Amino acid sequence: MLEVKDLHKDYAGFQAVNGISFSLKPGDILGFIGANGAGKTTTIRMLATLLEPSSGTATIDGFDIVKQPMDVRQRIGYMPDFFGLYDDVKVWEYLDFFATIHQIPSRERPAVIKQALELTDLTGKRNAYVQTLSRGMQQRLCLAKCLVHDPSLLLLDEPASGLDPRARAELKELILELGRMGKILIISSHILPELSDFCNTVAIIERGNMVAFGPVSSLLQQVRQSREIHVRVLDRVAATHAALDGFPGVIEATVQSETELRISFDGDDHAQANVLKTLIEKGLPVISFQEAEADLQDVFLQLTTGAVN
Amino acid sequence: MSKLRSLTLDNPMMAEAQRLLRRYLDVSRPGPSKLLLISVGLAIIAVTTLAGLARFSDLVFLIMIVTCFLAPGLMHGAVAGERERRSWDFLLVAPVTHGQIVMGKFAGGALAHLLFVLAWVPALLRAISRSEFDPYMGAGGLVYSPDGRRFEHWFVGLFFCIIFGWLLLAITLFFSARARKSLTALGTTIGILFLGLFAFPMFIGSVSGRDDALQFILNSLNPFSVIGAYLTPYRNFSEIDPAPAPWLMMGIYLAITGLILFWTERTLRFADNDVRFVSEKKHA
Repeated sequence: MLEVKDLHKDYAGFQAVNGISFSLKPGDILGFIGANGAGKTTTIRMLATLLEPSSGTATIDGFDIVKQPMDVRQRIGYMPDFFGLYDDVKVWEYLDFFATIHQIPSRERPAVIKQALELTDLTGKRNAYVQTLSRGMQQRLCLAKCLVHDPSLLLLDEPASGLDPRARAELKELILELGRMGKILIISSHILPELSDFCNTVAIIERGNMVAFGPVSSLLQQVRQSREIHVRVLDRVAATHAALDGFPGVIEATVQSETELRISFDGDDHAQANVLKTLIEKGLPVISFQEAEADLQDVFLQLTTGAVN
Repeated sequence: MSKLRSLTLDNPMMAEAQRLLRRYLDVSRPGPSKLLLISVGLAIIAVTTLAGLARFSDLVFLIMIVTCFLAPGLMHGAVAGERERRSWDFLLVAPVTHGQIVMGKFAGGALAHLLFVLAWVPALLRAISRSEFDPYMGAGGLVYSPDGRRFEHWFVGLFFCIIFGWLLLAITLFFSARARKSLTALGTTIGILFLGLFAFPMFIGSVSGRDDALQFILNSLNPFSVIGAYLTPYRNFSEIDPAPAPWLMMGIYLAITGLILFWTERTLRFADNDVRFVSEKKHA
């Protein structure tokens, strides 16, 4: 369980983070979204005990990041946006080193390393030198390093940056698997469409302030008060427009082109089905009738102003 | 006591020693220059051991000279290298204190240096077991054995090399903790050694006249003078070129090493990878 309470960070006169509060439970995958300089990395570094908050605090499984940093460090895995790995060591040696400094008993280490390698699909690279791994594999090795001590919270700062599409897809699967294992994940990323694929919760931060927090679906609903339906017809667009006029749930219908209309709609699913049914019953040549889905990018653009610290 | 235990026996960062030894001593790993250096080093030791070419004091000097480069070489990247590589955060978020990180890094370097010094033991034994004439004193040069100090010389010479190495390792680690670039730490340490051991004493010696007290102070500052005065087999040498006893200086070196390690630990308290000599405000 992670509880963040009124977290502040001031740097010589300016507020990098200004009173962030939220809580997450096991299995939650939080997408942390914000422009460059919004305060995402500062927040993540405070949760990782790398920065001391100016005020406020956070607890991880009941341990306070300010008062009990050593206990917190046993419960977190942190992957920064840019990182380097030791040269001249083999993959298993790298994990063995971090297992040792996380005080995992020597007799348990081989099993722990095996498990971390299996989870990150690096078993075949166990004896490879770290510097010979591809960027995607190094990213996975870093994640394996974060997992050797079985943390309950994973802080991943831009984990997909610099990865090719295949490596991104593999990372996405891994993140989903970690969520299923009951770990809390906080992932900061600029790649918003990807975040919506695996995050069940989103936090949007701007100039150090949290402007939105909640499940992805409720944020999408919050942003789009009414549904937007795109209708394509073979012809007779004016007749279609006339048929929609005054229909229950239709706020406004706008002709987009000779074959396209956009409907602003606030009815439920049944009302929406009725619209389609009525158009077809009136013999209008409907080719497609589709609700436009809002995505995280719409949410982000609508809730933020673009201002940065 | 528990603090000391957490820094040594219970310090998980002692794994750093194992990592460093794997890196520098496992010749099967990539890095031909490492293999070349080790081969050349072993060849020198083998030749001096078998041929008995060098005097004991010469070998001690040689070990100390190599230590002047080996210690900075081993330790310059200890912290600055982690920063450059961007792996430093991984240690800072591990459940280890700054003190444990410093001690782990130092122990890794100290163990590697100890192995280097121990590799010279056969050569040192060979050198001290034979009587020797000093070529500069002509045929009347004194031999070692009559005064019965052979074992003491061997013991002091060996330990002086080890403790001198610890001091240099600590100095390099300190600069590595201060610097952003590991090459800066390397250059600063070697530069300070050159200034302190050669340039400064030569300058003072040239601008001042013959003064025994001043000479004593200059010799005290120079480990080569201290061990040189002690190991030189002429009983009256220390009257010509006075220097403090090596035992005393070893104690002082150990104290300075401890102080520098303590200061290095304080240095790491500047979080955010900030590197400043004076902390205006503690961030973390």
